[in-house]
Amino acid sequence: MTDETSQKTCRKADCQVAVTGSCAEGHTPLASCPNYGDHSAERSGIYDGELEEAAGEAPSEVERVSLPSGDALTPHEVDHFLRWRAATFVTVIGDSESGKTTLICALYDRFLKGTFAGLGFAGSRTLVALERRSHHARVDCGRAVPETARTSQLDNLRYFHFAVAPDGHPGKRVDLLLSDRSGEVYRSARNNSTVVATLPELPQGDRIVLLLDGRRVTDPIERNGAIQSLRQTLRVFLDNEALGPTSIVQVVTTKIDLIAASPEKQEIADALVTFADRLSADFAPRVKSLSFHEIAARDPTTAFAPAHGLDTLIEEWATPRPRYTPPPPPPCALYSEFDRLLARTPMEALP
Amino acid sequence: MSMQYHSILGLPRSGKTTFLAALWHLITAGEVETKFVLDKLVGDHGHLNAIVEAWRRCEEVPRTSMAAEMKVAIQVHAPVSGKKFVLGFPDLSGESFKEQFAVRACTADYIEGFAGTGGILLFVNANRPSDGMTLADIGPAIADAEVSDEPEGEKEWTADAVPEQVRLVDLLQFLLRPPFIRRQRRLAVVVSAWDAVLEPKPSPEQWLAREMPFLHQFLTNNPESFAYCIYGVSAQGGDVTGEQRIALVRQTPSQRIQCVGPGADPHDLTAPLLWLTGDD
Repeated sequence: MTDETSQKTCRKADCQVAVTGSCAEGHTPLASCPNYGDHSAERSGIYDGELEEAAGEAPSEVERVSLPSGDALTPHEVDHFLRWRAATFVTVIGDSESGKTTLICALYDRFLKGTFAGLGFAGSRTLVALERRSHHARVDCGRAVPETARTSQLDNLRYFHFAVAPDGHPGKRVDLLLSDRSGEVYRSARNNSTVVATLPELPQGDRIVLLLDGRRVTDPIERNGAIQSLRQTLRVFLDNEALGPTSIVQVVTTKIDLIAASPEKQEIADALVTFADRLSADFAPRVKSLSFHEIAARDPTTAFAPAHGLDTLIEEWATPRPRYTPPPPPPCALYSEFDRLLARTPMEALP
Repeated sequence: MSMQYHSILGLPRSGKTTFLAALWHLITAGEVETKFVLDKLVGDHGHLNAIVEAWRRCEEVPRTSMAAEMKVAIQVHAPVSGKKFVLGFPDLSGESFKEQFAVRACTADYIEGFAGTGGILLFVNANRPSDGMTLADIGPAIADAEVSDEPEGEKEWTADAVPEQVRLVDLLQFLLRPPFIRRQRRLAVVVSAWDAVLEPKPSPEQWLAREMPFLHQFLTNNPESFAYCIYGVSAQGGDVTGEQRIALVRQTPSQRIQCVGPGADPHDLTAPLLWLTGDD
């Protein structure tokens, strides 16, 4: 345990981070835990490093009105949001460290720098959450190597919000809600299919994004495990009817910069083609569409541009999905005299 | 005479108080032609007179502290249309906005300020340090440097680490939801310290799109909430902390003011205000 850790505490009473140096919720690095830190200022009701200013200047008796938190949305908050406007749900699924949060942060970072994929930023209800998650990839964080805060298993389902509009067409705004849930939960669902029914983001998803961890794919020992995990994940969702004939499934291989830099890149490419062919043959008939994509959200060598491959994905997400049209009902058989009378009656004669 | 109460938004050191000081001098001194002129010198102008003193001496105008926040009102008329207005502004501390983003709360007075039909003056400083840089952005520059995976001096996230353009977008987003009344508002973006923008100078709109693309996209894509116009303003006319001060102090005070943007004359700070009143 470092001296730094010993000076810091956790808001949660059951977390012993000050003693053990380990976060009870599994956050790594520690600084990514929203409950961890020096809370002495907070306990006194003053925010961050503004002790001096607040002591000298802030009017203490002024009544404050609460404003929206900017945190990631809970399912309840999403329900509230949907009463205001429709949204496209993008359900992002992947094992731990497969790049779920990095994908979301890379998208956010692109919009900070300008329009992306012909889309402009129109708003977000989760800016504070996006900023927190992006912190460890910023120069100001004090790190030399970018890092993304992991989603803890104890964090329940949350959503990040992006409103985007095609360049020059603000009226065609689309609200995207990207799910965020710990990879361990999806692993549990693979191990025990009863968990699938507890994942509302699956039937709700307008797009189902399954991440294949490029780092594991480059490792010959891990490669088959990563591929089969994804295959099994899709299967358990389909067999338990969380996904079905209306589902749009996108298999996204992450960290392709690592694959491109691997001496075995041809072998890996062949393995991925074989995997895609088998997956398509076995599961494409059971979903509305099954497509394959590659991304390099944050290539440290800069051989790939930031958010490489995400442009085609977000462009597709922002394309309105045709509404589901149920099949026409079977023709109604007329049996009784009353039925036949009704059939003979001109509709305009009815009141 | 219609009363128009406009709101002023901006983080610390974005040029809010300096703008008010220069504006007060401009419309009271009558040294150059302006779109608004002083109609009556009535009311309490103690605060404006206090801040304009430093401005006239080409000194940095003292920042407004949270304890010294107040509202100012100026009675003006527009010579072209003959219309009379009382322009009201709050002189709010930048710390108030910083705190609003951080603690996610504001005062009832602040909400009341947005209840009327007035517009918003949003201040950003052209002479500001860059923020929000990612490690990937500087990756090529440090590619050959030896780095360690071990974090050294790693800092926790605080609201202070959030880029200015993100904070400004969030401050504007607050206005789109209760307890604020949702309606279309006129918003004049004032890019202060315009003299610090390097030649060849872009238009104020080009500057905003280049330097604060997130904010620019947000404004562009929310026309139902914000009708915006962007101005470049140098309320001091140059850097009053350096050698340029001597040259500036010798000029006719109103003539060191610079303003560029739609319908703006070179020294007329009232162009953004005229646009906010909707009398353009």
